[in-house]
Amino acid sequence: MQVLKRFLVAVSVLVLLTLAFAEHSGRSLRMAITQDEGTLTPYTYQTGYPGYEIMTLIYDTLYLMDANLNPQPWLAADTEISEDGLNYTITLKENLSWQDGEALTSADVAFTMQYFKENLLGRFTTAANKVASVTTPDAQTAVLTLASPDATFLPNSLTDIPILPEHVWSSITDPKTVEEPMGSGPYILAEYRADQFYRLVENPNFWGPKPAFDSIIAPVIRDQTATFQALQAGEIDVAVRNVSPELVERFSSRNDLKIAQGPGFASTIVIMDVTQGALANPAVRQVMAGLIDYNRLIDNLLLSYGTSGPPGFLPPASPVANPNTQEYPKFTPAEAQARLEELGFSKGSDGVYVDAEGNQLEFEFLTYSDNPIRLRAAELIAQDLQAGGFSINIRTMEREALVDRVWPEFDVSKGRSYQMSMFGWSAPVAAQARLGALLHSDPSVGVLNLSGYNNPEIDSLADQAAITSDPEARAALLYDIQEIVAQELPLITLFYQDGIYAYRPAAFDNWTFMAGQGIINKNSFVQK
Amino acid sequence: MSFWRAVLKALFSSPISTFGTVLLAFMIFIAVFGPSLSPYDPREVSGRPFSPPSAEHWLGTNDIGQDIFSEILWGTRVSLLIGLVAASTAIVFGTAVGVVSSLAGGWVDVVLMRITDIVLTIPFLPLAVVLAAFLGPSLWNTAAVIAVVIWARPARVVRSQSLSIRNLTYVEAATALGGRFNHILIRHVLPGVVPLALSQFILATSSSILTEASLSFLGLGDPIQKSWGTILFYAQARGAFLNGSWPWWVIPPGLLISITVLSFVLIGRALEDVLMPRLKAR
Repeated sequence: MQVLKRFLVAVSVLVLLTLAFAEHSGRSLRMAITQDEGTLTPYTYQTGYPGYEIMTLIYDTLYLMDANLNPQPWLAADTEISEDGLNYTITLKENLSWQDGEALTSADVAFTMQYFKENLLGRFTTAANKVASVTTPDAQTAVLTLASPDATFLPNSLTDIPILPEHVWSSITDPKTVEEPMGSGPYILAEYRADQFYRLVENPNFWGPKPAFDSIIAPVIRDQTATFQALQAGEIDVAVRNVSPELVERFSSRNDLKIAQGPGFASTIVIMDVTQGALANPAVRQVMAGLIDYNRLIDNLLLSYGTSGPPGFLPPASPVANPNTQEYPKFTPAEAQARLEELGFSKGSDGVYVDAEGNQLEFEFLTYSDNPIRLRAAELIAQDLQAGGFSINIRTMEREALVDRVWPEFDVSKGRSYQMSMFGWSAPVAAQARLGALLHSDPSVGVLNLSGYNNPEIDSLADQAAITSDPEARAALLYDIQEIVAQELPLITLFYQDGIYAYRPAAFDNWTFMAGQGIINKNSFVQK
Repeated sequence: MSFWRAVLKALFSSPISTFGTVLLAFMIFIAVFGPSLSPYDPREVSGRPFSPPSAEHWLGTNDIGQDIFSEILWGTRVSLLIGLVAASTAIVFGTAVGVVSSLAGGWVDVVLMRITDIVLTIPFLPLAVVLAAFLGPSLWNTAAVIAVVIWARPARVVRSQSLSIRNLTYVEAATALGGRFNHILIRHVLPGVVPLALSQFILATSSSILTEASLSFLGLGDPIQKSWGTILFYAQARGAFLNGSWPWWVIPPGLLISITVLSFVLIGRALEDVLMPRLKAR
């Protein structure tokens, strides 16, 4: 009897332990990230993806994009927009608090706008600069007055700007040196080893929905092969990295892994300095765009996990994509050469076309040495263009060196020193249809205009679109812009890769796939 | 003439050196005739990406559907060329430094040898990686980087050989009789160091080929140029170890690198064995 009793006790302890362990493992997540992300404050995180997503697990925004890219109230409970589109009266939710226990009030919102204006940081400063003044009638209400009406202010800016705690940041003069992030979000940074890992734990006093995990361990794994080997071996539960096309089949055949797939909004494009030389001529750019075999890029490079083009930039999955600008006009090599001759070029002895002054159609084509998809794309594009009478010299470069040539100091007003380059924009550019930022000739508006494109017609359309709040009228203006882009081609949009993510359903199976963004977004990290 | 006969004899002096010579002859054959033997242009997209080996593609296709067998045949030429160019540059420079240093003596010797020591003590591959990243990827930069990191060893070896020749009594006699620097150099020193430089050259070539493969594999070579290292770079970058394509994508170029390096090492050893006693006997 004694023995049986002991045995039963032992068994039940074991069962309880197992349950506890299972419960624990179900609530913790091991997520491989690709590089160090600094100290995870709004001024020190490194990448738009996944850095921003992880940073906003600690800091909150007023609104949060849902899976279908509709802004939902987050810190804000409600916003009233005045008739003239200038005054945004934001009512905060009740009982908001910072992770240190202080109350989060409208004063923090006012402080945040002011702080981003004074301490420059591209993305958030641009958004904060739209705000002319802030008043705080009471602790729960902030009235933001814009300098000019802006239809994208709520969906683009209020979902983007992280709110800073005034009681901490008011004494910070150099925001780049902040070492301990402290926000109002669902997770707290518990441990950080530079270049090794982050450990986030649930914020027990979080004001909002319960966090989905009690802890998140995010090791830095730079190498793709190592990342997915770790996933297969069960050492991690999810990778922020896109699964490359060649691995999809392998992963989907395994029972312990699941694949989440959907259209991606991260673009792969060819940018050109359109301010000088033959590349300043839209007709030459049309020939180049027409020579590229987009289907070959999709089939051979992406193994069909992606959509090609489109010449108007916005992907077909975007609600404001113009259906008429989805296909490039085609040029065979012979047609391309005939067209070049019409344009006043003649064939040189080596098959490369030259203009009247004897300048060859010869371009240096920069690409990243660490991104095999872009390297291979450059290789295939160079073949296509060479067949049509161009001479393309591919030059591979480190990421920083390339950015320094095409986008010195991340400020387009600093000019550029390149001819052609592979490039890409992360998902928000297409998701938010930021055509003005891409194309406007004024560097303070066209902050992403790496081509140096200047077209007064586009400028005025983009200016109008920025202040048009009626969705249909705004879409019509964006359609017009896309039509001009498809004609003039200040950049050649090559493709949008599908977002493909692999995870262990045993650890967590309740991911939210945000259109164009994937499963790593804040919605996945709080319980529904 | 007797020198080259000795070299030839050395190449076939033992079963091992004969084996090395045959392997090297095979690699040179591929480097020269490979491109005309290859079934496809290695740049041409000739099949479905990631195809396993088949009758059309003996070693399957790579990540964008280029024929791996053709890539390897073309890559042999590039890899051997970079190896030879880098090694010859390094040997010419190293020999010059070694000879000048030993003959000039004095402060010239001190300065040159301290520089050599510095290059010798800096870790080899990290230095190459830093230089390659700084200069940017191209075929000739890769060769230059390799030459810069490997010249020091031959310089040291040549200097000691050259010193021992200079101190031989008949050379001292020639100097005492008023033999000029050039005379001593050309008549007495160079004939003594050339065999040594040759065996150093063989060994330098093998390490150059290995270094080129390492740099290219790390993405620091010219990724557009087909070489064994770049084939491995893409295999690694496009998941060959994850999707099971490594047996035909990674092993063949890896094997060729090993075979080539092995053949050079075997020949280099044989040359040292045969040529060095001859020198000692003199």
